[in-house]
Amino acid sequence: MNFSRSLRTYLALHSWPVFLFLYAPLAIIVLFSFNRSPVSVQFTGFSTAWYTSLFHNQDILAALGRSLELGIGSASLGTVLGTLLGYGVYRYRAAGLAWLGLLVYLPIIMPSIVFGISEMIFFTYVHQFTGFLSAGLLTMGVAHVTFQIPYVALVVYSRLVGLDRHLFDAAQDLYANPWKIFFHLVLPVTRPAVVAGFLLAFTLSFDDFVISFFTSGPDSMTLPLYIYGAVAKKGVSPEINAVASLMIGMVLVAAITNLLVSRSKEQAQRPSRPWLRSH
Amino acid sequence: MNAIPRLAQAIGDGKDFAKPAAEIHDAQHGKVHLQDVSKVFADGTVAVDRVNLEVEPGEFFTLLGPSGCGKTTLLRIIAGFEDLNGGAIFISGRSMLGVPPHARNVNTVFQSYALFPQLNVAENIAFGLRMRGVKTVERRRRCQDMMVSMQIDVFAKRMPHQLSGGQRQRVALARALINEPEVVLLDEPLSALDAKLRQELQVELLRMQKRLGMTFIFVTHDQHEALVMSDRIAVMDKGLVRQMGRVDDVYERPRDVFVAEFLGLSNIFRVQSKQGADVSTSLGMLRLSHTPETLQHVMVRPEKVLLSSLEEKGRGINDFHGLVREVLYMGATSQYGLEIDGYPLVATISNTQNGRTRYRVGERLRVHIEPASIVGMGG
Repeated sequence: MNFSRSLRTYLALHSWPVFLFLYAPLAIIVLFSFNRSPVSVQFTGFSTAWYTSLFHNQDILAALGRSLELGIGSASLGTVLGTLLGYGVYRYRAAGLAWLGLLVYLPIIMPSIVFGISEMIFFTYVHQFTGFLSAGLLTMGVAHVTFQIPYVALVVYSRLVGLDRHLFDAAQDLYANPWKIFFHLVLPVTRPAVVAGFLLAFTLSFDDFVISFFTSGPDSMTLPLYIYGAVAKKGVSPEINAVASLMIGMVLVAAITNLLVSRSKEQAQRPSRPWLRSH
Repeated sequence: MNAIPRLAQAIGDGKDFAKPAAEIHDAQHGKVHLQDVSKVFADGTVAVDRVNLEVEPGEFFTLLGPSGCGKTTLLRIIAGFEDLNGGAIFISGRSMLGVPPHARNVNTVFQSYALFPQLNVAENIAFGLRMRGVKTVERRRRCQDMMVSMQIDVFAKRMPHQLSGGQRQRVALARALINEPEVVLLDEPLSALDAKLRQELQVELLRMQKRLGMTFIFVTHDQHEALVMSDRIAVMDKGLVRQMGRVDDVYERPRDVFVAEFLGLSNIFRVQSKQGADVSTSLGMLRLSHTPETLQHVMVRPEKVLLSSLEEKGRGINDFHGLVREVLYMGATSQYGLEIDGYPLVATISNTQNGRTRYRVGERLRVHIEPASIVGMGG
């Protein structure tokens, strides 16, 4: 008891510097987004002016719109394809297709700069020979879907692997043909994983810079590309801090929602734990 | 231990129920016929080796054997989860070659129950009807009837993880039975339960099967379960059916050492020489009432060994003097570890017999074995 208490105190003390290291830069960005001065090294007073100007900046709003369009579009397609791939790899995992699993992993461990460049070259060739796929939101979307698929597939696959494998036999045994198995068993039981996969895919797309940089066209500047351009031109302005703060806020809200949802689900799925009540 | 009287009661109850459904259907309905069925796994293991089986409609048939003997594979072949490498399979007279599991009118109760985690009890039970496109109203009614008859209607809205092992087992059984399949396949459905609940559910399962008149094919490695429940059994080992027949016949007249040892306790002696009905064994000369052609071993069940005190008169043949080495008191019976001329012999004596039936360790006594109680066996 004493030991565990002192250990807990130690861990609590020990973790604060780590948290400080992780979150201090984020806190500074949020703080300076409310800075009155346009110079971001000195805090001269509180102001929400940058947020106001942000919402009047048509370039930023357009970039945000494109990011959302790209993120939602690519994540939707990526989730569908990734779910199918995850299920396929699971279903035929016994058929000597272990190498398929490796192929699924490959895009995840490949450096994104290599991935981005190869996508760019590929699209250039395709465009040159067919006239299709000129650099723009479409090529970015194709590239994003490509790197989203393995992530979604892995999330869905690991959910399926955790299930009793006899569930699939049972569904077949109860007159479900392969289509019905997919819609009445696979989709319902993997729904949490599919939702998580979609959120992951969206986040990956929304903040992707490297791959977007190589596959974008003149009219497809997304938010990360805009921020990069703005910083490269004029340095970090409070307006950029404001955009960043909003993005942090969005991610925070999403993460907390996700946590609450999964926690309430976990409680519903587990039987009550009486030993917790005795304390 | 109290399974036997309960069982008698259960079967007695069964008589009051409606006529077995099997009588209504044609003679082939619910019949399972396997012809030279073989299954070789990708790694070369022969899981099932040219098995021939005929399970009659309305029969409680048990596949009994140690783990890895191929019994579960055989069950999965009947369900359609495994393809054959040879042979043919007929259910209700129709060939099942190339018929996928979802197109077979057969339902399985899995060892893990395999209840759908995202569906509640009622939805789990109705799953088969839903997949077959039975209308909602009828589905609800049949599901409700089934839950009432299985006494699980109070759990209708519960999720599988909120149920106890016994309740899950009932739901799994209801989910199979509601479809009125031609054959119900049960893959060690009771093995995950504790002993008392297992005995209760054995009775319940048997009562249900007799009432519905459905064909049940039951897989187990538990010989007691096989003895209590089955009409007929097939004892399997290494992919082969070693012996098949009525459960009492197999118990009383095992064909070989494996079957004798797997099903119940046995005393087995190697036959050294044979002269007519008399065989010479390590125990001494034994007279048999019936000697098969290939005679390598003789077997006596412990409860067929008769014990009496030395003062009583012997019967001339198959009489021995024994020494009590060990006594295991088991309530209704006692198991004696005897020694005859240095060779061990196990005898089981009922403790409720009249007269003196209890012997102490170190006591000498008279041992008699009726010729009809000795079974001659092959390898």
